[in-house]
Amino acid sequence: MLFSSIEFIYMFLPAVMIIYYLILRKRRYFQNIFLLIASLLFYAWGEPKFVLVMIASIMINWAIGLAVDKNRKDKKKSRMLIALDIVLNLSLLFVFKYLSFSITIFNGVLDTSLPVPNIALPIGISFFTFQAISYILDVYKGNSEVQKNIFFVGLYISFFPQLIAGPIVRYSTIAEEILTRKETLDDFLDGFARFVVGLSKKVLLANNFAVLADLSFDAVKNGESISVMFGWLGAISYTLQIFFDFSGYSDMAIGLGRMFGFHFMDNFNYPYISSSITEFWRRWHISLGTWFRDYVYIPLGGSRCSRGRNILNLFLVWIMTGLWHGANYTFIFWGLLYFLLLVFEKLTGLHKKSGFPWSVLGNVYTLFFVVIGWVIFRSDNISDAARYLLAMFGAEGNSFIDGMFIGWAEQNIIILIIGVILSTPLFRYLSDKTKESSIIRITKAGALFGLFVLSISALVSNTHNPFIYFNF
Amino acid sequence: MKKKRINYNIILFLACCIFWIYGIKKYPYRIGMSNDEEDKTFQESVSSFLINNLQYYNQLINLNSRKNMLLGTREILKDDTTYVISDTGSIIIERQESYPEDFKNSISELMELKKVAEDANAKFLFCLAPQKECYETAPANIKNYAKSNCELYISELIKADIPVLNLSEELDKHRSEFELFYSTDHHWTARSGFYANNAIIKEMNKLYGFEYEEAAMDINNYNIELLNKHFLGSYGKIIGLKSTFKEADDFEYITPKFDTMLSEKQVFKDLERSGAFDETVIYKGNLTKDYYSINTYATYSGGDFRLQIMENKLNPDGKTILLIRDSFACTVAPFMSLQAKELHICDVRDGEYYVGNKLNMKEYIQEINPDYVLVLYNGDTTQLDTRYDFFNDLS
Repeated sequence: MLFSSIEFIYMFLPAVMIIYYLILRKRRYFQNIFLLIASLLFYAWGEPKFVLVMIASIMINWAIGLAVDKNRKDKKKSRMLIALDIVLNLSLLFVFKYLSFSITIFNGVLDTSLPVPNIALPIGISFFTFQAISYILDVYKGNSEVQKNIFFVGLYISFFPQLIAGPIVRYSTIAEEILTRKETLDDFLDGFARFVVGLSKKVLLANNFAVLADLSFDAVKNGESISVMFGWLGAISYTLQIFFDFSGYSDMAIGLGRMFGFHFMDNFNYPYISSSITEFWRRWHISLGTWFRDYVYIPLGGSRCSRGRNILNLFLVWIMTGLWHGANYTFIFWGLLYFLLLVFEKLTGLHKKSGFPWSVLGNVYTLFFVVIGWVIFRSDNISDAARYLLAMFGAEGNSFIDGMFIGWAEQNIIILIIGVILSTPLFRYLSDKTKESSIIRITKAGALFGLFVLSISALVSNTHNPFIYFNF
Repeated sequence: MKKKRINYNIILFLACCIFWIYGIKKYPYRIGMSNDEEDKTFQESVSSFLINNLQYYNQLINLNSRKNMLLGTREILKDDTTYVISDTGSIIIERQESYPEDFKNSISELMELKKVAEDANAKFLFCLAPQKECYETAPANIKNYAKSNCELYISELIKADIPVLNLSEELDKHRSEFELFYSTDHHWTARSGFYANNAIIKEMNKLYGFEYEEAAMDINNYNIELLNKHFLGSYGKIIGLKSTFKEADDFEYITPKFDTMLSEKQVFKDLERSGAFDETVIYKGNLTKDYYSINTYATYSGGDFRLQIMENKLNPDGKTILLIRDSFACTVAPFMSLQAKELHICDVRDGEYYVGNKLNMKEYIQEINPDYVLVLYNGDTTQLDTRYDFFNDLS
């Protein structure tokens, strides 16, 4: 089930809220059990068979969590248990996500013909396995008490707001909130408002950019020639699509969490205003970046080691970051691109420069490589990515401008301008400046209602509503 | 004491609650509304049920279309079809390029049908109605091969020695006189249907000496009632009333001034009506203005039926015509019935809404012995086009 669907907005969410707040009011234990059941139903709606995989993951991680806590004093044993947990979780991920890809590489390198299995990928597996690993590591490090109740572990791993598209929530973030959270009216209302913002971003913006992006990338995939300008238009559209789609989903997740008294960290902080790649990764998919930083980069030594070792650590993190997004060479190349850029910044100190003109030049440089990166990320394979990039720079003998660009640009100029403006913190700035004004706040609430109705109208009209997280 | 700030998001929440309650209060709920319910998963069926039963479903479609118009969106992708607003504000769809092999099957079936007709001593004529896209200009980024596809099909038909009447030649003469096609629908207008019938009759006369009533082909002998902004066509129903500045189409209700006496029979529904033109071949119930629930285009002929027989009681010495058709014949058949003794109208397309089984044209031709066998189709054809399933052997 998607948040941006009529069945979620008109059926699932109202039913969950009514039962949670009216029928199970002040019965925290039963509220948690109910949320777990609702989350499993939410997942089973789209993945009826794979919900068993999720349940198995919950049971395994709960059991290992208890064992780690019990053997806390025996460092060797507890480390073995953690290793076992990581191996089991990553094996799950490997089988569903990377097995086919690995066999394909194996066949290619060793010239064998092993059968490549066609294994369906459970949606959200990358998110919930990372959350499960996070649970065990937080328990081991003592960041949180072990959770003895399997249902509450299940709730943490499968909680529907962040189940299929993040943010990746650390167990330590919400451990206490599982039992001692306090739902307030302000949290509920602000959470709902945030949900509406996220829904609008996804349905009214991301879905529109998706049409244009899909056209340009599909054209290259089908071997058609695209003009330079159309190539850039498609690339920029995808840049906006993925931002509004992903940040919109995160807004909805964070908003929904707040409605039930949970507080998740922000996942996006206007990444396209960054003036360095280093800064970009502090603003983009923050929960993933910090997960890799805390659980991989720092344990490997981070930057507190020799330069060579530091570069190796960065290399490993960025290969893994790329692979996390999908089992394809494109994601590996995408990750490596960022590795090279980050090393470059580290060596030159570019990311530390501030003030004019560095902030502007830095923003142009960052956006340039981010857009290039998204082209690689979006393409089905390296060959398509290469052709697309060559087309963007006129290196395929393609025309500079054509009817496709003129037609699509004319029709999308307004939405593109809106998208560019909304990817900056302008509205947040204005909102902060006017927060004391009741009239502005009432107007904002009214405007959000208007966006809600427009979003519903777009969903009802059954216009393009892609789900881009199937690789995750 | 610090004054607690009012959280005005309460307005948002309450407004959404009221919106939600109003949306779901429609009762009784309609289940299984579309023809392809069987192909849907349970989840898709639930989604479809919820959407179709929203109280304000039509208003939301309109709102979305208005939003698209204000943003300058001219292409709307819906259910794998790209709907396009043409340069004149008409709704069209993207027409991909056709190749000769695309017509192979349909031409083969037509050749066989022609032979069956000739074996039964019937005269044969294939009438090709142009697609709307032949007359519209799409934005620069949209492919529109409608005109070239039509021309290619005509040339393939001629190569196969099938007598063909290209109705776009007739329509071209009237381009500056009236709207040839509805802006919000894929069909031609009633007036286009009227003149298309004239062209068909004249062609039958030219080829086969068909005798016709001149007076019935003069538009001045008809009452024309113009209903302003009365009809939201098939495309408009899908993408919304407000998709273009034109919104709904004007609709012309054309009826003869002269006396008529006809009967109209829907064989498989066991329905028969007798009386004047507007009591038989016209379905006045479809004239009611209701953008989303009624197909006003089906005022003429009533819609699509497996077998419909129109009998002209005032022309007992006239000819029997078998018209194998698609929906473009809706606005042609009523006027054609005035030129024949009997007009048998058959529809062999696949579709769950038809009552009765598809007829085998060979058997039916042998049964009724028509003087003329006409086929009237618009130019959209593919390899698996069931409109050419004349003998129930295509599946």
